[in-house]
Amino acid sequence: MLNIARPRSSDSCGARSLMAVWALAALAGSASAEVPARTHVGQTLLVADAEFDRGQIFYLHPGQDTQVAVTSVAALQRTILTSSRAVGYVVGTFDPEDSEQPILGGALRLPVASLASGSPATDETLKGEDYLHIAEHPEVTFELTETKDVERLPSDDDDVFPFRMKLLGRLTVRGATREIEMPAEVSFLLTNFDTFARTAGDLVRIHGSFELSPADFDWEMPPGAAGLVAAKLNVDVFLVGSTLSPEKNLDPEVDQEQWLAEQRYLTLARDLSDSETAAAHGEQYLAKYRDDAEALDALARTILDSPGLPNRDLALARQLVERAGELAGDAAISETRSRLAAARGDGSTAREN
Amino acid sequence: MSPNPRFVIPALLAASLAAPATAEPGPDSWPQWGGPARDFIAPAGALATSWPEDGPKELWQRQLGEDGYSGIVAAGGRLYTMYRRGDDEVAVAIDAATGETSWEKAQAVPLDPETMRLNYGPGPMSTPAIAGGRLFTVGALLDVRALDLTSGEPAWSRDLMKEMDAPLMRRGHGSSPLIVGDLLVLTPGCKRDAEGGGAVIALHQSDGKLAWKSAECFSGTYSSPILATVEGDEQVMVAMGTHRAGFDAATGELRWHLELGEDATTTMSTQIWGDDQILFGSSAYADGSRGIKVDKQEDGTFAAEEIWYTRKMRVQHATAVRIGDLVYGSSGDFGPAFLAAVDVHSGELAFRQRGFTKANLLAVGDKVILLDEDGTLAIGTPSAEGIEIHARAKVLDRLAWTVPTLLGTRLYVRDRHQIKAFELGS
Repeated sequence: MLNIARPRSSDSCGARSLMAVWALAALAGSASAEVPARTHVGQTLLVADAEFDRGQIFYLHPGQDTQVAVTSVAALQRTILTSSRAVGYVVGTFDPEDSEQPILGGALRLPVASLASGSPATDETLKGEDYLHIAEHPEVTFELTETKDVERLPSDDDDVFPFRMKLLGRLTVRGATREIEMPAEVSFLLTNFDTFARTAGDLVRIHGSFELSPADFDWEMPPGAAGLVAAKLNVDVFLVGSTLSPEKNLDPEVDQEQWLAEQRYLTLARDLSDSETAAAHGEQYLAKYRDDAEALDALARTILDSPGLPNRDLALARQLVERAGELAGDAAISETRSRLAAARGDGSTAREN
Repeated sequence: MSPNPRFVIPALLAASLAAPATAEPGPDSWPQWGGPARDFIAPAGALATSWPEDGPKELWQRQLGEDGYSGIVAAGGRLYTMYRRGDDEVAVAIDAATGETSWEKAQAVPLDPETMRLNYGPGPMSTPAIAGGRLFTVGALLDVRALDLTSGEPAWSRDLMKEMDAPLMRRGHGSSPLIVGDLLVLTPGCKRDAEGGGAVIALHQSDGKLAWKSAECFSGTYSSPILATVEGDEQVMVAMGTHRAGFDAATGELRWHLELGEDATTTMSTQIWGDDQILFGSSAYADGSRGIKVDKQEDGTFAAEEIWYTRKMRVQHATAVRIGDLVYGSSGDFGPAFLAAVDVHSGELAFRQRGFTKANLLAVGDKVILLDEDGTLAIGTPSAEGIEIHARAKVLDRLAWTVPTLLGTRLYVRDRHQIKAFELGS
């Protein structure tokens, strides 16, 4: 059988500040030599040709289907950090129903910036130098290296192939890499009308949990931390991967290049919380699409509407929508201008539009 | 499968009386969807297996209106296809040697985006058919036209959606008409809970009048009907909704019928019939591929049985080809697509192969030509181990969903906006 791998590309861009440095490090994959880098757009990881030759690639889709929850029950505080912004992939066999080792590999990157407890003060503390030290270690990474104790589970659905197994791999937290083992239930779901309503493509669903001891990662807690952070953390993982890449938009009406440029903005501004690099990308976007009112309006709306953006760059949104307004005065752009004015607290402009 | 002389001879005779010699189907003709035998197998030609880096020699290219997926048919040195221009659907005749327009015939077919799903464009999708000196076109709203091959002048037209109360296909009618002797077979389908039959109909090519209609009501389909010979009996075989059925080609009488599960409702690809009386069909989404064995019973009736089913090959809307005991196709819908092959007797998967997006396949001699939806054209040698790709080149833009047409060593391809001619000879 021939296996002709598709070409893949990576990219790099210049550093502008400390924040930009770590964000770019995350994009370039410097957090761990074992885990592939993010793609240029950043919503998934670069997949090596060899992985394509091994089997089927199931891409994680950042958003509601990649859930990681870290629970700490300490003497004085219970904290649950959650994120849905992990990116990565799982390599599965083509025919899980016939396989005793249906999972062959995988990799994941979780931006520390995306972990949130619901308390900004707690988040700031936990991401600080004494704890997760986001400035030096912007991502938690995991490389899936092996499975064991694989057990096929019964299924009353011909299109669902469930397994119980242990997933083994290398977890890197705060720059320290350790082997971990996670018991998990893994199900392969072939496309049907139910799965299609959620996500296109064949799917894999992984649900597991494991305990993590910060001390095992040479993580020395500051004095007094014992009351705030437990010695053992529970990590609960729920991931859904699809054979469809999150960087492929199925809508034929969508300009793929422009849509990917928007996705890159979101990677920077939302997932990595790197507002400075995001702003620079936004300026490049503005220059590239300065004669395309629809594209300009699209990014302005993304800035205004996308959930989870820690800082909405209203100045950039204003530049985008003003230029869009110079090119076209349609109702959609007027509405964006009104909403932008409202977001900026400019009531009179909002009403004028 | 070879054409039945019972139908072919009268058709050729009628054609010789009715049309100029230059417009007749001949050795270099591609008279309908799927080619001469509607199986996507082209007569063997001496094709080169290596191309220059920028692809095979391009003979010409030209714009083709604003949109459309309609296939390219050919006869008498001309190519015929359809495209969209504003509210018009346009049938066009093109000089195969130069790409110049011989004639165009437009018809207003306004589409309502509120009631239709046009995100992949307005089409047209159906491929015209050539017979008896005429070009038969079917538009997105089931308007059927018979045009003179030489001049494009209309001979007759029918508005089947109105006249037959046929259902609206929300992406536009995509099934291509089938030539059966002097009949034109179509699959308008029936509305939900409709009575009175008419899922499959045959029109006289001469005047467009109804020759027969099936007594059965099945929902509409994007899959095109085929002509099959079952122990001497000519049948029109269809995949419509959850139904698979064979009809007497001359009368429309039901010969056999299978009703499948709901997952089988979205068949778009064309079924393939084999001399071993196995009907191969494939769908994507929640379905897969299946082999249906059709046999004539001692009492003269016909029985059909699903002999295998697999989800390991899922052909969405592209073409598959049968070569020997293997059916080769492009498996996948919205995720990655793999070139794949299954054994038509067992359904066993022979191989999966990366390297192309969703692709249409055309068999020619011991080679296959494939064109994927990203516009990559390739030639290779198929076997049970895979398709050995000899040459590949990007020749079109997305979405190149139209199956290529091969006349001798000249290949004609199109995407939604342009048509190109290539010389593939060695």
